[in-house]
Amino acid sequence: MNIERFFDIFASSIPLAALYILIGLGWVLIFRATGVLNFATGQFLILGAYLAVSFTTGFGLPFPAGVLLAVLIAGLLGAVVYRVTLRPIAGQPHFAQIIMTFGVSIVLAGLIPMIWGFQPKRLESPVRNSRFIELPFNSFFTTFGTVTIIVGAACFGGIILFLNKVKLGTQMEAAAENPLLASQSGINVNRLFSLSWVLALIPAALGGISVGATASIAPELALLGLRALAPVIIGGLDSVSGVVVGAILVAVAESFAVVFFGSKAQDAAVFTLMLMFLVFRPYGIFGRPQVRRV
Amino acid sequence: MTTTTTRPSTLTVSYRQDFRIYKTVMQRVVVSATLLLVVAFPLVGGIRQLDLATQIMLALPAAVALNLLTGVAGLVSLGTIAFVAVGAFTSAALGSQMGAPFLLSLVVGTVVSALLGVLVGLPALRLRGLYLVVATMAFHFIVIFAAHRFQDPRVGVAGFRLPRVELGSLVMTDKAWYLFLTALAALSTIAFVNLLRSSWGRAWMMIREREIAAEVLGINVTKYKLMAFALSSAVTGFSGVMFAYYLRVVEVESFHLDRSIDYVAIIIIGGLGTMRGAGLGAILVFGVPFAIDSLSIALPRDSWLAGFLGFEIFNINSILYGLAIILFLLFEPKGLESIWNRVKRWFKLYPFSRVN
Repeated sequence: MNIERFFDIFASSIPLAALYILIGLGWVLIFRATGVLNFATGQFLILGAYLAVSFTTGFGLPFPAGVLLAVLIAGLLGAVVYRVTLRPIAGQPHFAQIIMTFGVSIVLAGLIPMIWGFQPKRLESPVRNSRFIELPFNSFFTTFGTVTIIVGAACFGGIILFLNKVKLGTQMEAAAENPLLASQSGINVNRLFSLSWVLALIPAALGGISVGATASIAPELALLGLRALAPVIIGGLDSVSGVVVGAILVAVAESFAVVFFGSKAQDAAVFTLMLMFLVFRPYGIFGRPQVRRV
Repeated sequence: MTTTTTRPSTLTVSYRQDFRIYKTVMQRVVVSATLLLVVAFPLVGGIRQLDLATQIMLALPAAVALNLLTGVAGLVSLGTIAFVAVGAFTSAALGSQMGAPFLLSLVVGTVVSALLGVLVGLPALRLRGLYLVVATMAFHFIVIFAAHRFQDPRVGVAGFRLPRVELGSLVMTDKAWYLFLTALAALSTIAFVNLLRSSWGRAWMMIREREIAAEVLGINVTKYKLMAFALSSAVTGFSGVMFAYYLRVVEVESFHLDRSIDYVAIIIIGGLGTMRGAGLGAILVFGVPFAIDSLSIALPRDSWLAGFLGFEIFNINSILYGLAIILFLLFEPKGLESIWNRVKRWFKLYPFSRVN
């Protein structure tokens, strides 16, 4: 492998990392707030992408308005799903909650093709894809890649700012840290939990839309949502910043694995890396180890 | 785990009585009648019904194994279908590629699955709950990748073809398969019930409830956890070999992660940790798609509903199935088993049912 090829693969993994950051935020924010691993993330991601297609090409809305509306609806639907299915079983074992999200995922996996069919759909975007930013050794970022990186960075920065600087965000942090104390200091914990689902699924849906613009949207895209669990586990399940490190590691591993072992290696590479972390460092790079009291 | 009952007949006065599997004559009658009905089924059922019943019998040992791992030992796994795949692909390698006999595939498939089960169990010693679910899911994708690497260069998307099974002079027809698989399902059920009554079963339940307390009481947690994994994956791999030889084709696409969720759904809908639960759950999970399918066949061909059902059958199944999981978790978390017990109690207490 020459150095150009190496840089080429490396450059292509950066937009992928941004994509993983977007979807990973979806997993982390929900886990931090409500302690649920949302296995329906993949379906919400597709839902966002399909909605964007319908709003822009179907109803003829301008691209930014259609995208905005799509992510908002996907996020709000997430909050509804949380209230209807997960809120009533809060406090039950993790297992029950995980299976609940699988139930939601299965329902959505039936509903979405009923509405949009099994044929892959493409999101028509106003800009054309081309070599956009030239990098050393003849590698480059495409236009869509650059947009994904910007959106990923913006979402990440925005959420960090929101959680640390905005009152609602710090309240959310407090509710995640200790729901009982938070509710006793007058924070409406239930509302914040629902809000955190909205906030989490917006970046996830944006991730789906970004894939929809670059490649195409099909029901199988849900697997991308599942793969995005790996950066989250690697970074540490309860760490928002950890997602970035995890996403870069996973994206690089995936890009190289696909080059060496073919496209089927995607899932295996990502999940092998994750399994190694689970065995040797289960709480991830930045996660807090859970202390069990006897 | 006997439920509190009011009949004097279930009160015991000696350990011998307490250890009996059938505590009442009625239980014995019900079990015998069920067995008789199940065995006589091929005489009444048509080809489609027989296929459905065979699918259920095929799934039962794996569901029972998962129930042992998750319901009894409290180790949550999404790896069921991965172990089924291990059994099936071992059969493909031996039976289809090397021409080995059925029984050899059966033994090797089971042993390989058991060993892999221990391997997956090793991280499980450190991980619990959430992390274990994620780890077994990762294992699933690694197995599927390995299966792709094995299948794609050899036979491609068509999958491996397996020879018809002949045991001595007995050629396995559909009915023979059904009876054979029923016997195996019954065997795994009996083994499960008896394991629960043994010191192993009690150790697993203790680990499930309070791991540290179990350790303090001198239960070797490492040993019993690995044992649960080995046993459950051996049975699951075994059922994978059966799966391969019954369908006579092994194709990697049929081992989707969703199928693992099917098994989890079976034991959740049926009732965690109970034998009757696994059976009832399997009937529901396989029966509902079958019922919808039958409905779309039975309806007049040109009716709107038949067309809709025929076109969207896959999606409708998915929605109903997901809804079943959601509704059971919301309203009946102990599954069909608890409904069964309520109905039973109603009859038992009949004239005074409403008081309780």
